[in-house]
Amino acid sequence: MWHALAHRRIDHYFEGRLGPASQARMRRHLGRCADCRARYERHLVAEAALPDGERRVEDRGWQGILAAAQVPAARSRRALVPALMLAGAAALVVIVPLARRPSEPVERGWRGGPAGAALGLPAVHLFRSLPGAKAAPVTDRIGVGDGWLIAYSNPGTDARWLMVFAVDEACGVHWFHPAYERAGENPAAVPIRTGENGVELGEEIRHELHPGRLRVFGLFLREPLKVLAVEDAVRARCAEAAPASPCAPLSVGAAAVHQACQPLVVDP
Amino acid sequence: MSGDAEVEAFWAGQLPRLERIYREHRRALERVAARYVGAAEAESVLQDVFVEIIRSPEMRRRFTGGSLQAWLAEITRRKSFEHLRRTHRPVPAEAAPLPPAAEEPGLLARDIVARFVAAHVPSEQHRFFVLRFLERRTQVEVAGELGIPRSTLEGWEHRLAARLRRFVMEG
Repeated sequence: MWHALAHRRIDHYFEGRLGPASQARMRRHLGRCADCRARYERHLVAEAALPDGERRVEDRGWQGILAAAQVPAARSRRALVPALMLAGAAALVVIVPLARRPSEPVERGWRGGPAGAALGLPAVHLFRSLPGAKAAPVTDRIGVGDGWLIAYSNPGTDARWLMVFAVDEACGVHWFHPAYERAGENPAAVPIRTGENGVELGEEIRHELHPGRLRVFGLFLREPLKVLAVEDAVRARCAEAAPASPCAPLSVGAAAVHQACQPLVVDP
Repeated sequence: MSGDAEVEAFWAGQLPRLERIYREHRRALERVAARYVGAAEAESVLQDVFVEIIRSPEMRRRFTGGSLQAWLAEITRRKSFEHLRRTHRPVPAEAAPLPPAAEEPGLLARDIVARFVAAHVPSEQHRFFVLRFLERRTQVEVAGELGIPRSTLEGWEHRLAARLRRFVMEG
């Protein structure tokens, strides 16, 4: 499974479908994986055999350089994952079956995601970073200083956009995807792949959380909602006189194909 | 642009100039890196080299004239060593002879293409394949020589390229 994921990432790289953060992870992994180097070299040979192979290599190489050179300026609150943590984490969930079942409106009490994914439902998978470039699935607790690693499974074709965020006890919303880092912006949900499981979402994320209870939501959407609309829905939920269960679905209209929610405790 | 102006543009970190340098020297520098880290990671080393050149005016200023390729090759060698250290692999001594060159993807590709053409290219597309994939003539040139519309050749090329890629990947 590990190699299947790493190989897929290499294939995506040569198809021009890998973002800068994933490219960096792929490159770090190459140094440790002879099998992956062999696959990469096969791609190089295949590319060299094509009439426009040289140009493709050059274009891709230069674009990769520009992206890598600009990474620090573009990302302030997020630290890059040291070495393959998410790849290892996603490998844990990529084993879930790809079977597609009719989607249900709400998935309650997802535990790290694989349970929902195993049912053929969209799911978000949470992991926390560990020292030594490792990751562990998040079940019900996470530390205030932990880095978050997030992947998703979207076995169907209805959901094309995703939002992942946490709501704390004071009804504060902490955004993972899309990144929402500056007041005045109103970013939209991130596009996601259909018919795939265990797809990693960017790099490690750290939030300034306080100890206490937290709910992490994953909204799988057929159209891209914006963060302010979702925050309105969260505030409306918090203002209810007799709130439903903490993980009851948010009122975000017909855009939602599936809502996932995981209650967590943030440890000091 | 004169030589002095070229160097000034390099020192200034002008991206069009840096991109030209990358395209001009990529193959030679990848060969240097591949000798130390292998073909799969040579691209990573080259990325390290050029990212530092883009980001660091001090590094660019260290080039004071002479052969730019020799200067870049030395940086590539040092970056290859850094890469080996980072991945916990043995680093050759400074004075050690250059490791033997790895087989280049381009040379391997020619050998594979020769096997592919014999087994997988339809006879009516043989000539097209040779002209386009082996001799690297442009589609327009090949269309003129064979008297076949370019749109037809486009379709042939697309299918042959996909088949060739599968042939290489599946060994």
